[in-house]
Amino acid sequence: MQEPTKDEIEEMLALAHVAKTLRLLLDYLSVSYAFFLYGLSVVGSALVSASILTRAGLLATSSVAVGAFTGILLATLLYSRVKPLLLPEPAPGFGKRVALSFILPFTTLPIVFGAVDPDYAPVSWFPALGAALILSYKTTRIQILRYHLYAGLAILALSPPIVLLMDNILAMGATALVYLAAGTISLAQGLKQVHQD
Amino acid sequence: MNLAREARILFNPKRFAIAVYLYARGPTTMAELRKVTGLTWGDLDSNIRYLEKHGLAWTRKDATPQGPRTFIGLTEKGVQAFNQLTQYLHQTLGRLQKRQS
Repeated sequence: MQEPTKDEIEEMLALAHVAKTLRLLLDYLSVSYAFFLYGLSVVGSALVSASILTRAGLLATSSVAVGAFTGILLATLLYSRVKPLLLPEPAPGFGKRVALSFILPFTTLPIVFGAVDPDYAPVSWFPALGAALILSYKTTRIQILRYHLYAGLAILALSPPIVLLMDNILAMGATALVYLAAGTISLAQGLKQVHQD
Repeated sequence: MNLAREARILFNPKRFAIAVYLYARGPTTMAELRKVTGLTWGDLDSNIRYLEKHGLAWTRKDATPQGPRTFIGLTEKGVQAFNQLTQYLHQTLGRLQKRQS
């Protein structure tokens, strides 16, 4: 192979440097977004469960849920606005699908199941969120969201037994811990992947 | 440092341009890749096929709200080859600078 000239090498290295910086920035944005969603999941899960379990009523539950969705929607909008500034096209339907997959279980399931039997609300709600995470994984091209799948599976596997086996207050704390653990593992995996690359 | 076969494949102006964009952007559409690299459809297609044949890139047809699109991305092997090539270029540049001084 013919050795390239100094100018050619410098040009190629400059391009590679820009590519590496952009990749890191996009990964950082994706991880931050995922972290923000997990944070909202933890807070939202605790608040919605608390309001259902203390039978604070539909209004309180709805207002907490609406607050959580507004946050998610703002994050989604922010993400969809920031990303095209860096690169021309966002991943197809990324924001809308993720937002929808969160909004549906957030709004409907706790209220519907809460109305049937408040004690079973968290049991039905957390696995539903896990399923929503898996759904969001399937509908996006962003590599980092692969780790939502692990988190979703962890939530699916661990939440119902924990909630069923413990008292309600403990169950809420334990479920929040499951979210934190799943989120942390997910982020650690994501960051490991970024560093490997 | 001996350059691996995969990294040598990227040591070509057109394929390097494709790899740089895919590395930075992640998976993207053929149309977008053509726009940013300035390559013709034929050039782009043949180089993507070449990368795919050697396991450095993947392609997938997918439905999007705008209609069907072909997506292209670098494989793990492709990312490693890109990293190895940049490492090789750094070393070569160092050698050239040493020779000049």
